[in-house]
Amino acid sequence: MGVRGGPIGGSFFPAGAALADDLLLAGLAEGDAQLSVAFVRRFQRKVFGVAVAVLGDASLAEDVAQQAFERAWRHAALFDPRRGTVGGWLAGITHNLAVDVVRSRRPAPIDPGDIEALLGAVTRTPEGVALASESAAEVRAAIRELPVEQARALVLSAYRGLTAREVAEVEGIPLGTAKTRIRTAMLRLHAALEPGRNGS
Amino acid sequence: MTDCEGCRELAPELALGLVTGSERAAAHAHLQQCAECREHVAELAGIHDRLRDLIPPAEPPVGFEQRVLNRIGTPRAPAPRGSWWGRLAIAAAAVAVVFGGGWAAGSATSGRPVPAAVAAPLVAGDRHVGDVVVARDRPAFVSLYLDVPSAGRLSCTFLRKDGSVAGETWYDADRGTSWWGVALPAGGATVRIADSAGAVVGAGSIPSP
Repeated sequence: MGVRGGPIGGSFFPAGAALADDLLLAGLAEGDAQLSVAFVRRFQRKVFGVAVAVLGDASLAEDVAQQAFERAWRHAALFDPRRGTVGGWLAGITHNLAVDVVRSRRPAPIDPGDIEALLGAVTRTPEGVALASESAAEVRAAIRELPVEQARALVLSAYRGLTAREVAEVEGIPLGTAKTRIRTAMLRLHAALEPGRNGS
Repeated sequence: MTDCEGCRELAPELALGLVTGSERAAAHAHLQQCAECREHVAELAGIHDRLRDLIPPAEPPVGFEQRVLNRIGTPRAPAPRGSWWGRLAIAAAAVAVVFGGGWAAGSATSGRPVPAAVAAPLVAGDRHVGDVVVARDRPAFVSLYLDVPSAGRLSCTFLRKDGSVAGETWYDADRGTSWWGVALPAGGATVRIADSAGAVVGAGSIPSP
């Protein structure tokens, strides 16, 4: 007697279909070798990109990027898909680790060229416009609308993790001015990106 | 404790993680009691996430992938694309999606690898043409992967160890690579997939999870 039924409804998966990020993360947590490989391959450029952007040093960035993957592996169960994407979660882990390293090494001089380079990198539309999401384009446009001194304060604080006091020192401005620049930049982005929700 | 006005003033720096010490503690004490301020800070933190997403990816140094895998204790070296293991991964995930299985539950404390599924090759002559995958938590369900040589109806015949037919099912496949799932008939030990003309396009054993 056969187990007839033809195609099993809903159970057909075209080969080559990309696995969802959270499935790869689950595989990483479970110690599945191949899913772990797939996870690292999918996110290593993103993770390393964040680390090197903050640290500006490939060697330090590699160590931080490795730590980030280790932390994702150890704490995969903490990932909450309702609060964002796996990539965003991993980028956040990486960024926090990198900023911790930066803070532990201060005071370290900041090359003004680094600020300009990072600002340029985050506001430049990447090659292959199809890859550039609408959301990212909105954020880039909003940053470009900022006065340059606010954009610099944003780069230093949001990307390099400098406190308002450190921004003030780097830029040679009073603390109050640094705070105002950071605050105004963030509120302008908020107003531009979440119109109607600006509660400030 | 910080009041709403003070919290609003500090919100951008809070969202960027720039506030430390007693100032941070005071702000968080307020946030615990003020949903409106909490939401505002959360929205600004969302902006921070979007800013972070703009950081361009960068190619890590050669060998980075393996060093990460070594660090987390992953035992096997990566397999080439399209490999048996890659298919296993896809099939296992497919099973998880179909049944909402435990893969997405995540367990960071489960220790060393216990693969969520097992697989055995499907062969046609001496060619590896696909895989049979069984999830550990779904041992009565089989996922079949096959490089289908030409579109048409395929028969999947499950055989017992003594060669008798345990069950049979059909699948209308397109040419190319295909997945489908089927309940494993009791006693099924091997599977034989044949095209409408009866030619065997793949055969293999059912792996035991």
